[in-house]
Amino acid sequence: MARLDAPNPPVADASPPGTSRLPASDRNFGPLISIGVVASLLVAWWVVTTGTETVTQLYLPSPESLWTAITTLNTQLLADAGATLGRVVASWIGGSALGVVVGLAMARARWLMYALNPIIEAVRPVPPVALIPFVILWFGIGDTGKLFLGALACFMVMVVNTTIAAGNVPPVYLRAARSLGADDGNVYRSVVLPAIVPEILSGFRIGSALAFAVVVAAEFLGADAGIGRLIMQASRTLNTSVVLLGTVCIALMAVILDQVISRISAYVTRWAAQH
Amino acid sequence: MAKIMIDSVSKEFLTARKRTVALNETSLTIEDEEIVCVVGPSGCGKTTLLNLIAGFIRPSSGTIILDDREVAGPSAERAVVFQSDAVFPWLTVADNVAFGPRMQGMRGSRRAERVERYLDLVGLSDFAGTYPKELSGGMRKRVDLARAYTSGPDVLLLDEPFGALDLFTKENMWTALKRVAEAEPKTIVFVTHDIEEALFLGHRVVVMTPRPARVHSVVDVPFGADRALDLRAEPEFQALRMQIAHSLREVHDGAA
Ligand SMILES: Nc1ncnc2c1ncn2[C@@H]1O[C@H](COP(=O)(O)OP(=O)(O)O)[C@@H](O)[C@H]1O
Ligand SMILES: [Mg+2]
Repeated sequence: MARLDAPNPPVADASPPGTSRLPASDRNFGPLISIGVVASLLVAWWVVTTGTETVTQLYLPSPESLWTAITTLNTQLLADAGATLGRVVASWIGGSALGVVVGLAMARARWLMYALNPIIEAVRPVPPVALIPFVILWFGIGDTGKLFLGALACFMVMVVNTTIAAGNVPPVYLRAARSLGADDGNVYRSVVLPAIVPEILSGFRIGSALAFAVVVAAEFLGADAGIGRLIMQASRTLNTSVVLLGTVCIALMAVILDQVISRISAYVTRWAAQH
Repeated sequence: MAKIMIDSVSKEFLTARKRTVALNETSLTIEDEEIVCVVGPSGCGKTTLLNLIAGFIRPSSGTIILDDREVAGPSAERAVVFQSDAVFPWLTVADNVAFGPRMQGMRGSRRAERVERYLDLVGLSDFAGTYPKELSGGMRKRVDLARAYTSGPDVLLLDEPFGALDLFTKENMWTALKRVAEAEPKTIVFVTHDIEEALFLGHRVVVMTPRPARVHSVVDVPFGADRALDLRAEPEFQALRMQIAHSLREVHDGAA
């Protein structure tokens, strides 16, 4: 019998990971546009402050005063940034991991879903920051309370993401696994979990940004170290260059963390079709 | 002794709005290593019949017996190739094909050998390390077929597996399926709405009535095992095709 089944060539339109639906010409301009916008903003910042002195130092500190703040604070800035980053990463990893585990358990056991869902739905819309007074009463102003708040925020995101994603796994995958000999546990380990990895990773990204916001806000109300404390202290003396420096620090750390996560997730989900 | 005995099986679905009888007192006996093709208008209950044999759903009444035992749920002895794309996108082609043996605890070199063998049979050896997103629809169906075969089932259930493919790719798939089935004969239930496909692949063709489905007639296909694609041009093939087309039209008009 003739071998009529020479493999078809791979589909041509499988675009490399990380590219979007933009046509090729726009795609190449993308990073240039981003760099251009950031650069123009920096120049505009310098022009309105140091260059033309249209805006006073108090309202918008100049780049030079930011540099002065960096050199004055020196190691203290590093210590504060380190304290914040440490709390963010610890609460983010802890809260997210717990969220995934509980979310999977809820997807697997109906009764657990019924038991936990009302609590989660009730707590979810509450901004974690609103709980700060309680957290200070319960845990004092040490690390524990800040870790708790950051973890709570990440947990909420992940538990909801995970249960929804697990419920959306195409039933045909579950049936296929069953008819290939998978038992209950196998279906969860080898089908549900890998199938929802993209959603879990996007939850991680949302969670990391949220953890920064919550941890810094908790630091405002009392901490022995941290960017939040730095900003709060500086704002009492209207030292706006330090306030601005603090926010720039948060932004930089958040962007770097986000980049790390998205690089890792691009690799881990390299199997996923681009949409 | 028959391999599969479907004995006056009915299936009705109850939804909030209405009650749908998808299968009505259907009976069918399938022999060991027989290829039975089931044709019928879409929506008549073919997928329901296959899901019942697979054990994904239970009959409302009647029994399905496989090797003297009543079907009680899905199992590795009945592999399914689904109408929709069921290849796991997070696994490479080779890992997809290895899924059944892995679940069944087969290890190391034996598993790798099996995977290699079936990848070769469906002509995908060069794509072992590829992720499904990089494959065409026809290639994905072949992964599906190889995965089902590698799992080592007694019975293979295929639900309009090639329905979404173009004719040329479909012919390639027929050839691939025939080659695999010759290398390792199985009891195969093949659901399709394509009469030529049914006649080309089947030992018997079962014609279903519109919903609620039941068996309208069974056609014995007189062609031997060695069928070339050109067989479809033969007058005898065309005559059978017309006969089945007529009975489908007849049952359809009868129901309307
Ligand atoms: N889970 C279900 N719930 C309700 N109705 C269903 C369900 N599955 C199938 N049906 C109905 O049963 C009938 C037969 O469906 P199906 O077996 O999928 O037909 P076919 O595969 O022949 O196209 C259809 O009318 C369909 O709407
Ligand atoms: Mg169907």
